[in-house]
Amino acid sequence: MNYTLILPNPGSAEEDSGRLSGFLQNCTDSSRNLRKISLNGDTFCRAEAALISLVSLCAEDDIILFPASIAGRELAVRLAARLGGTAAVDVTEMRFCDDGLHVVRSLCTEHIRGDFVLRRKPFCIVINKSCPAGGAPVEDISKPSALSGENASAPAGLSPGDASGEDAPETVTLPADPLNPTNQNLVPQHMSSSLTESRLVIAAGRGLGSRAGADEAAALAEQLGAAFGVSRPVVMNAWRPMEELLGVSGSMIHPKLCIVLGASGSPAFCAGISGSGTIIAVNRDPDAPIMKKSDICICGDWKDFLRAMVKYCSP
Amino acid sequence: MMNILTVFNIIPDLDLISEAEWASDIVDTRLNFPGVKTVPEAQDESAAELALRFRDAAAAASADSVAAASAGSHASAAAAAIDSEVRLTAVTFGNAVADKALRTLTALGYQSADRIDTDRPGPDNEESHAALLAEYCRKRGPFDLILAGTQSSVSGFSQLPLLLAEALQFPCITEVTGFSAGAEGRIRIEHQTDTGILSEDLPTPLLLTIGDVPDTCLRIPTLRQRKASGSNPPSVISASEFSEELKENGIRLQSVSAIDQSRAARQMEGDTDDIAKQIVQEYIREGTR
Repeated sequence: MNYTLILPNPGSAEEDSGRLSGFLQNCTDSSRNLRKISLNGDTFCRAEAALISLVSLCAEDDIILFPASIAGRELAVRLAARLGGTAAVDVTEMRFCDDGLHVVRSLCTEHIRGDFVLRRKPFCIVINKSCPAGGAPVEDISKPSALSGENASAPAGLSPGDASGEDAPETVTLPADPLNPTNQNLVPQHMSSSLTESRLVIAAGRGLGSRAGADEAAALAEQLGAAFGVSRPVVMNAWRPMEELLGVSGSMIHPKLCIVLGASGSPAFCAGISGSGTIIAVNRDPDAPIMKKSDICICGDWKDFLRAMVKYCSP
Repeated sequence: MMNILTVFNIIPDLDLISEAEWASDIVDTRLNFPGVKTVPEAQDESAAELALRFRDAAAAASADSVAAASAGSHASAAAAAIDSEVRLTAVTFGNAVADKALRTLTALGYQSADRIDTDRPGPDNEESHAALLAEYCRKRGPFDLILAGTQSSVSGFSQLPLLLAEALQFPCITEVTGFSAGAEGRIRIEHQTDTGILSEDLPTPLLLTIGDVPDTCLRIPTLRQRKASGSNPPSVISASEFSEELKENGIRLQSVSAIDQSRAARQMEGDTDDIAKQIVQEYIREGTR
């Protein structure tokens, strides 16, 4: 079997490599020919340029793995189409079966698990962004004092690259951009590492009520020394920036403690915080779904609770 | 003339299905939800609204050009108006349930709205639907811009627009957050990349997949607009009109089951202040000693 890991973004190649290698270790035996290809473009990974190279490089592959990035998803689907194969995106499990390749991914905004069979090689697979590097389970912390210990400042799970232990990737320099763009202007966006690396996250939802409420919650979170993330309705109302989005469309976090304020608990949002050691939910509605998806649930007003927390955390 | 196609899907409103119903394994591999109210896909709705804003901006620019040229030649004013003309078309898959949404689009100024009479796109039929849509574009086009949502609430990440781009050999820009008229007849695209927000001018034709764009709910037509557009149903096209046989899909959904996200859910009761103090003591202070 020929496997290729595609690393479309040089800036995250090491992390992506660790995740893809870890996923592969969990899903396959060791009898494989594995290589890694790192794509080196100009401004960003333009699919039109990358596909020119990948079509010839990957023609003999059985499985081609991609990270859950914007470029990874686009390349996987379009490369499968050009090679006559099949693509699956956001895959959490994978194994060979009699009919082809069996993969698992979620459907209906994380309500449903779908088991699929892919029938045409090559199989272009984008792994789910919740897959940890090394394939190790997230540290199980569901007890008090979750923030204690010598490693309290480190995120749960293995650090990226722990499982990479494979050969260095081949670097492929992409050809000139075939779309011939003009007036390009890139505003770099360094995804806030505070959300994905913080041991304490305040995650808030529509119950914040307004932009002013969202700003107050963010300010209080900062006073607590916590990272601040929000649900989809909050960013779609433009109360907070897109970088703070949690869930399948945003950041997947693994803090030791996540306090959820005023979020109903949609499955897509909860998938983003499910890597948390402990989840404490505060909501006025005792029947909100988030209550059953938390370790500790508190029926009450988020403002009263958060202000009190800040008061007791202050030196 | 700028010819824009918006792929606009109608889906069941999944928020109306209770947690208990999801947990009861009521859903099967057809992913049908009979009787559940339908809504537009959120990102398809953004796509439809962004197309309307592009048309409005073009009309405003045209009016400005005409006014500016009024002191000049009549011919140059007319030329400016023609160059900025935008024609909007919407297409969807599915049964007559989608017709109401398509009527809304025609009331808002879409010149045509078509429904391809087949099952709606799902997670294991995107290849066949992309092939159908490619045939539709070849027959009803050519289109300068094709817009579609990046995500589907039912299927997750949508492969359909990317497969359509491959079938039509269109350049594709993903996670688009805005577009407008660019320099030298190009389209200025703003889109999210893995390294940041990129703005660039690109030539048409293009296929744009629309990402999460705040404040882009589809506008509501006025009663006057609805009356003006009439109540004619959208044109319905049989899938067989494009192809005798549907393209075989390389992926099959074999089984589905409910995802259980539940945790211990230990309830803490009492005064909020006391609870906060206890949480701080047990989960934060203890750890810093």
